[in-house]
Amino acid sequence: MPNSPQSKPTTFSPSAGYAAGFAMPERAHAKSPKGLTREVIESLSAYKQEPAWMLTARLNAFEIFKQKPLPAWGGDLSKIDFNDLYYYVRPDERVQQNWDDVPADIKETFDRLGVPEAEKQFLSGSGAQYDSEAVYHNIQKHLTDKGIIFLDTDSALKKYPELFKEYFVTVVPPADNKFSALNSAVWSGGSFLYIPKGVRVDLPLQAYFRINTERMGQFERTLIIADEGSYAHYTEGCTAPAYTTNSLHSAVVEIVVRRGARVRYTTIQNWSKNVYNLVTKRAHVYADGLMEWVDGNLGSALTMKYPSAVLLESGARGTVLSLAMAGDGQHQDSGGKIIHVAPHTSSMIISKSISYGGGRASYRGLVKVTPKAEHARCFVSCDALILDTASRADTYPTMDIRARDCDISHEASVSKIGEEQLFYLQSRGLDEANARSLIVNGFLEPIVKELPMEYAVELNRLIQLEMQGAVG
Amino acid sequence: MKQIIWHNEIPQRTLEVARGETLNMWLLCTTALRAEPLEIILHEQAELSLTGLVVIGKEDHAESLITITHRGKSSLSRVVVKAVLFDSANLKFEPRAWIVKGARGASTNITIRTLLVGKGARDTSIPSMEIDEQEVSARHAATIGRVGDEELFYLQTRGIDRENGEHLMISGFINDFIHHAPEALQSALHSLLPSYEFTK
Repeated sequence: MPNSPQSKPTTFSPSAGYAAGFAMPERAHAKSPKGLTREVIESLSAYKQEPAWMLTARLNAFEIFKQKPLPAWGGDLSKIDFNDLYYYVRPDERVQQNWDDVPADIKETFDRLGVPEAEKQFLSGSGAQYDSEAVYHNIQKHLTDKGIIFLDTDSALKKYPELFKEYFVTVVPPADNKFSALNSAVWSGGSFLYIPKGVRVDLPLQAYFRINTERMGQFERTLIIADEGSYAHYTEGCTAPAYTTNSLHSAVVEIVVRRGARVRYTTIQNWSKNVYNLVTKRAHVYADGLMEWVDGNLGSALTMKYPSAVLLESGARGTVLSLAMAGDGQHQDSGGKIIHVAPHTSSMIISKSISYGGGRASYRGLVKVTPKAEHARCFVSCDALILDTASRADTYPTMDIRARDCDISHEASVSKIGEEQLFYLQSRGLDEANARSLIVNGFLEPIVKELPMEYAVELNRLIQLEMQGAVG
Repeated sequence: MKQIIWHNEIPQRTLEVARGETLNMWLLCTTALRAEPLEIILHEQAELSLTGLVVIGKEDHAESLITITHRGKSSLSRVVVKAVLFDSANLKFEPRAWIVKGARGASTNITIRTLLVGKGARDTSIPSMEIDEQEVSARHAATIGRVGDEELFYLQTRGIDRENGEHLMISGFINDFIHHAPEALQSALHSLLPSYEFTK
């Protein structure tokens, strides 16, 4: 909603623990200060009217965040100034971006991708919330008839407190890393999805279908619980660039895949190039369950994201399909992690990356087989394409194997587009740009074919655009 | 062509292979070894062939970090390391290939094959690559596993019991190293396998 001096100020109940630490407004509103303090967390929790246990959990996570160091590996995090960020902006004080201020290259990409007008406004933060209300309500009825719970995380905490509390921070605890601690302290928004036993959701569930929530939030917390024998496919993100002035995006996704259940989680992120995208995604997989991560990283200045699966019981499976494109000024540090805890578990990680225009794409992965995980099987393949002399590709795979009866294999390659392939296509009448984009599309095809149709079509168009920029 | 043979030691921290030179390295590890990191720098048109074999048992721990830095154009590295881990032996091997900007035409190929024989055997393999040049060929591969039950069953159906079958498979696994290794390592290699317990 647009911020205007005539809007009613938000008030806080003293009994909810709001500390009088906010600056007095020059206008009618109180504005959240920059920086992360105990007072900011207390006021965030009070505004959301959360139960006391959640405020305690947030404050404990804040203490952990202050103590944990930044990782000494991965991308360059030295420029993040934690004191120079807004950690919570209330919806009623959220200032809409002026369309005129949206960078020209973002607008041009919208035009060339044919992004509809309403979506342009939404993705650039310069318009009213994307209004899919009628569609949303129809979808909701279809889901609730099956007993499925699908709403934003804030509402789920209020409406299903016992279910929420049973699973919250069980898969990614605050102490896991500095950024999971940060998210646990200031999380806001995200999706909560519960699928009852035996229920299959054939329609891919998208974050779009949550209205009146803080979409594109900095610190989303998503929790998905698939009960025994259930199936759901959750998708988020967009191939079109998403512009935001928030320079730190640090989400956490926790997924529980119960016996015989299957969850596919598809992400295509294309954050604008001012964003640090530092995300922790993990699934716990039980007997005969299957977790499938499909992870596309196109945008951001730096992404550090390693979707992972912990295979806890016999027959559990996990797969990660990771796609990364790193252009000028970008570093995609991504991959996947699989931890085999139980016997007779299997996994696969397939990673494809492209570096161009001076970008850097790094694969970072872990396959861990614990001593009791006999008969574990895992296959990892990571391939990188470097399109020009200014770009760079790295692979950092780790295999930590502590059970004898296992079958683990890993292969990786880094190469450029073959001259012979280019010549062949050019001799058939394609110009260089089209030939390159055809070859790149073919390189990515094993992953792109797993995306929902609309993502795949848009991704192909985006690649074509980028290849045209990469030539000459 | 130069040749380096190291048995249960990695006594240097740095090696340089000069322009146009070829270096053949043979590494054999049959005991606990915590080696200091080694960097091998390859200049223009230098070639490195590194062949390694690790056969350890009991609770021996062997650890090595080897960085191969391609500084020169058209430099080439081929690394093949095989490991057989008995009892509760533990191996941590980190081969790193770095191709720096300007090393056009460089080529690197690293292969690690580990056989886990002992019930308590553990392996950590971390092959990594940092490639800062476009016109290169860079590959690596790693496999970790045990002697397959199907292969053992095949041998049993031919009258070879499990213990001897496993011995045969392990011998075959390390045979190409034994076959090509220099004379200085042969006496150590010949007495290698019979000293270990095989799984029943």
